[in-house]
Amino acid sequence: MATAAHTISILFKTTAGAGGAAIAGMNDYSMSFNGDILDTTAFDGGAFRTKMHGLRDFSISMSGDYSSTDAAYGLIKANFLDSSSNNLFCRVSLVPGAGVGNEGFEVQCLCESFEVSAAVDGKVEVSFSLTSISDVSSF
Amino acid sequence: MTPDLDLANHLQTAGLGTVATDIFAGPMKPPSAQISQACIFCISTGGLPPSPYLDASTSDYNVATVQVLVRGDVGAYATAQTKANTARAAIQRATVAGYVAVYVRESNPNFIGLDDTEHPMFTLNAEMQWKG
Repeated sequence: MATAAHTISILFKTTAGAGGAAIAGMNDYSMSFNGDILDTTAFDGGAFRTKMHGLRDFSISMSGDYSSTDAAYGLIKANFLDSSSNNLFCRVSLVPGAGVGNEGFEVQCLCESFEVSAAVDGKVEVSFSLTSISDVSSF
Repeated sequence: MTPDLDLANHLQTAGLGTVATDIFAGPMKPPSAQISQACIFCISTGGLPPSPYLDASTSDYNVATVQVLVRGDVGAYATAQTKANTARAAIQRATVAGYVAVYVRESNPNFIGLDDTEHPMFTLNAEMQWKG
């Protein structure tokens, strides 16, 4: 069944668990689970390669309209400026109300980039890139 | 939001007339004992579809359009044109409470001819953007 995207909520906070500040103004979001794939094929093996997972991580990118007073922006900016003092957790509810384990993902992350752009006849827009520094949990 | 009325109030603030006297939000009214010949009408003309944001609060970015029709006195083409240009300047980049941005879509008012009773008429199209 298809799921409408506009009900997605993207929350930011400084500790793990429920709650957080919903980021405002976003109209595009993507997340990606990435894993290194290690080739484990033996020299004297069969005709097919064998592989296994190496290290994995999780990345998030999102963009939308800039909102200067938004609390979530403050958390992201603080993390970018001083990540050792300002933890950042992202909790994304993809299907609100879907039930435990099916609703979304949470991860501790670092702000990799924070870009603001403006065209004179348009709006001030912002884009964020985040990368994980913990394992990903479902909720 | 009521973009037509909000724009009419803005034009009043800009000194182009008085709402409900010679500036109206709504359809054009013919001149009469109660309605001046020289009037401005702000008419809702729809707009772009709302752009939803990714959140549970159902907020959207909206872009509405309002047509501003400037009617002049009979034989007063130049005066009506000046008034339409003043309205155009007042609309472009206007700061209107509750709106993110207000733009005019023409660099010069459209002269659409004389009405049935020979009043010169100009039109402008305003774009009013808000988040809500």
